[in-house]
Amino acid sequence: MTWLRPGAGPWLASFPLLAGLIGSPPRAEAQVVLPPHVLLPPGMTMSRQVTLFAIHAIPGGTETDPKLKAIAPQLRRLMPNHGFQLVNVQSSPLRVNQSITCKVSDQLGVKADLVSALGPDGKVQFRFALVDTPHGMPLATTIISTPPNQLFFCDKVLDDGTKVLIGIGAR
Amino acid sequence: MRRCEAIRSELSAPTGAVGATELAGHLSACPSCASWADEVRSLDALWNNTRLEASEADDDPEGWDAAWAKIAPAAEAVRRERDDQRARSRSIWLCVGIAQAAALMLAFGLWWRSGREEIAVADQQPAAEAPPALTIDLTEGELWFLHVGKDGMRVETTLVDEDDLDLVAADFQILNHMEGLAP
Repeated sequence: MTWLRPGAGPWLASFPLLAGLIGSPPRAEAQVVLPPHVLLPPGMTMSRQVTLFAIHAIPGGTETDPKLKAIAPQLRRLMPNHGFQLVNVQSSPLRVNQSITCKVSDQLGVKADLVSALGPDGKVQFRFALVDTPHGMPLATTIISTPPNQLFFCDKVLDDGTKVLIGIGAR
Repeated sequence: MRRCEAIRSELSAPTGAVGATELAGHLSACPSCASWADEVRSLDALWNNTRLEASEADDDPEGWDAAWAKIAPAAEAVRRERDDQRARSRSIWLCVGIAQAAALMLAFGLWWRSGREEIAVADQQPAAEAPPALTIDLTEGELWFLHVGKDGMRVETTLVDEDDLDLVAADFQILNHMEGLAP
């Protein structure tokens, strides 16, 4: 189950005292998705459409999830001789310091924080972590700088010898 | 000890058995008896100030009115003092309540404005605050694969040359397709 924190505008407006105390909700800020190297007008915050997904890759498998048929050749170039099953995909506009998470299994999750929406080199920077969900322990944490529209891939061998292919990218 | 008892007994109900000089000498030498004597003197003074005169203590209503006129101001003072204490107590609890409500609202506001909008999966609270083990900087047209196994992490990179633009296209197609699949 995926959820977004609900937009607070109408809800908060019904509590003027509360609204006065805590100010306008973040959703009320101007938000725009822009390509790199574009100067933002004052008062606007830049966001990136971030996509995070997990695909179960089965060595020696030949079957591909119908949802992935369209990109089966591309996936086979990345991981030859594997079958592919979609596990989870999430995509959302993120601003700096916002996060996106993707559940892989009861034991494994992925989390990515947007560190920088536009670096001086025009790249997007993430803090990417594979997480042992039951214990809340990060298994691998990396800082990734990637050009927009370019995926970063990670795979993890599961206990049964199969793999999970994780990709993250932003535009 | 016995001497102290005799002195106190004499002070409570004078019999003349202990002379005034001896009493004074003992009180000046014995702090315990001196303190006791002070308390007794205070009680005596209180009694003398509040006791009813014989004319007031009979059944004459006017006598009781006069007696009550003596007591009433003191009783009223005590009542006012208690009311003030209750009001102070109510004020303190009201302040505490307002402070707690303000703290709750502040905490809620901070949470709301924290800017860490989570897109979460139910029952999942990943902790990604550990220091990063690796920093990866992709250049355009470069394919990175981070392999995570039980024995650690291994990085594989492929710099796609100009003749192999299919891989770059594949990357882009996967991103487009997966974005379209997202709920």
